[in-house]
Amino acid sequence: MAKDGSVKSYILRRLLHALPLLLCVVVFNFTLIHMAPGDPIQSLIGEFPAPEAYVEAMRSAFGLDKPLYVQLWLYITNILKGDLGFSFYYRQPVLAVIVERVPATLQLMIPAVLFSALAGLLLGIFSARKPYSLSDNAISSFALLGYCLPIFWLGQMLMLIFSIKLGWLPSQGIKTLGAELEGFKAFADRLSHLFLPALALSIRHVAINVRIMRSSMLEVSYEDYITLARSKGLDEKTIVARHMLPNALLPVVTIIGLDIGFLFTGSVLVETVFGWPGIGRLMYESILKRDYPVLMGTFLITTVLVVLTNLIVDLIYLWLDPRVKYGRK
Amino acid sequence: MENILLDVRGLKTYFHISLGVVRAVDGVNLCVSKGEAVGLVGESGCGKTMTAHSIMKLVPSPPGFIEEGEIWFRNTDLLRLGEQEMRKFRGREVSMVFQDPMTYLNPVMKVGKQIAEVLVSPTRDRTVIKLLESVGIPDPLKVADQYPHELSGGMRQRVLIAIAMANDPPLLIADEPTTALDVTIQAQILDLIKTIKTEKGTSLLLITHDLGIVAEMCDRVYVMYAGKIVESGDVFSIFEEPLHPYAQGLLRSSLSIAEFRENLETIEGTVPNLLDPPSGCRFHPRCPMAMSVCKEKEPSLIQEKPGHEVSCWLYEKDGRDRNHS
Ligand SMILES: Nc1ncnc2c1ncn2[C@@H]1O[C@H](COP(=O)(O)OP(=O)(O)O)[C@@H](O)[C@H]1O
Ligand code: SF4
Ligand SMILES: [Mg+2]
Repeated sequence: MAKDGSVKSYILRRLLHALPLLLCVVVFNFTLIHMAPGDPIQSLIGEFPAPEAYVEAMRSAFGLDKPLYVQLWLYITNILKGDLGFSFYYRQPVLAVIVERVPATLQLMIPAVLFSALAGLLLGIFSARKPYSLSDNAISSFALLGYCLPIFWLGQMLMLIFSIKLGWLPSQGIKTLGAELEGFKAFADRLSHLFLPALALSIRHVAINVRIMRSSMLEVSYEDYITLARSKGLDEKTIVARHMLPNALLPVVTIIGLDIGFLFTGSVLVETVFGWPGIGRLMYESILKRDYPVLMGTFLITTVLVVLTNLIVDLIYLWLDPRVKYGRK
Repeated sequence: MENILLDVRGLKTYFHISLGVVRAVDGVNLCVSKGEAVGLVGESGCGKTMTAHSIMKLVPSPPGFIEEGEIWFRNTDLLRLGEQEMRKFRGREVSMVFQDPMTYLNPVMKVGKQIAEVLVSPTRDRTVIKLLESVGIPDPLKVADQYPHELSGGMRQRVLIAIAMANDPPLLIADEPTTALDVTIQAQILDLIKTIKTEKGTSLLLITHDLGIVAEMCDRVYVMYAGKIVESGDVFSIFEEPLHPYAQGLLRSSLSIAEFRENLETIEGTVPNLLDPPSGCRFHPRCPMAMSVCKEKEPSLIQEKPGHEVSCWLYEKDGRDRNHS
């Protein structure tokens, strides 16, 4: 990456640009959630009748009696101090609740991203080698199907077939509860739990990546520099690996980056279906429990994660394409 | 003949597209002897590039297919070779310099690497740096480490020439090597090709639409029109007395461009559509000398003078008898 402009200052600049975005996300989520019906205090206290004075005391303890803009201001200044609020339900600081869930989400997301990228690229390349052949048509049909299937339905079907009917894989959770496993056994246990949710989460993105990689490879194969590579007497494998692939990857990398945001959306469904203890399920649960501080916190953290992954993807793009410099973009 | 390096016979390269069949190359005969520089001229779209790509077997397929013909390189008919055997010819026996230096280099690969990968066996004299030097690149160490977009058009064309000449092939095909370049750079690139040719004795098939370049660079020339060769001969004879009305027009227009710009003379009409070429002689809709027979029957290639062939009814005995319409 020996280009002008240093990587560090580029990263710094990108992060600074992300701040206004994060602020907007915070304000928007805050406003939206406080416009929603339902009283968080009610869900905090529960269904049984409580004395009016107690309810008021709770309200003021959580700052819910103040005007909305004051609450917003407090919320923002607290975030800057690293305080995302206090969970009504867990009775813990929101940050602690979320941080506890981050590893599980990463454990699901990272394999899903890698798998969808790798499988998408390989199938796409293979598909483009012989366009409109039987194998290409098969892969393209699969991609169309994978693109259309709703994630929650796919997740339940996978669970039904592989866990309930065949009993090959566990259906719920991130690991076998109560089992004291160590070393490789623990790893294998986690892997078996990961398999179905990661698959459910990736299929759609495998499909997207296959389609983009295929068309990108085909497009590149008509480029003049491929004719030059042929005229050099290079063999087909070298031409594909050395000349087509690095060029065909460029648009795909961009799409993978944009897709990561949608992957988070998918993870809400997948984590819920498979009882995966990550941020996605936390989001879902905190909606049910009207645990607004946690809900807003998960939105914020998700946004931060999306911004960071997009930055990483952009860095990969910069590294792949010598024509783009750190200064631009 | 012993001396012949490349002999193309009856080459037909067609494109099968949804609208029909494009007869881009329609029965081309052409040969290049050892050490000879041969020009291939014609208007844009007449099939020059596809002739060259057919020789290298680089026609994009589908939609393009070499339908018929033989392409003899020394004692081998390239059209009979499998892809794997053909690869040994490309870049070693026959190389090509392309029209547009901007698009023919891989944009994400360093220039040095793009040269290195064609070298069959790097030796002390055949290194990337030596090659860059030999094509007149001033700072070869730096350029080898640069990406194509960091180089000017002229520099990129030099790099492409370095790639083509890396293994000293006996035959170099240059497809309008200067068309995309500035006028000042054009002369430099032509000089470079000339130098290479004299120093290495490389045979040259030079494709151009500029007769001036042919006059300067070539020993012999083929005039192509709508997928066919209509006239061929040594450069001197053709410039002295072009026989085919198309060649006559081409020469007049190139002279008028050079000498009397305001009085520009061009050939009337447009290049025919190769999907549905005109009947008989393909030039008849534009030909000032057209006779009735021209519309009906195709003239064959006849030798009018030693080494000077033409395909036109004006020169066929029975054609002339059939009078003017
Ligand atoms: N990929 C292609 N598909 C269809 N027709 C093509 C293709 N490439 C070239 N042709 C046709 O072949 C003819 C000859 O093209 P070309 O050899 O590039 O001409 P020239 O080099 O003399 O300008 C043109 O009429 C063009 O339309
Ligand atoms: S054959 Fe007829 S139409 Fe064709 S160039 Fe000769 S005179 Fe003209
Ligand atoms: Mg051309």
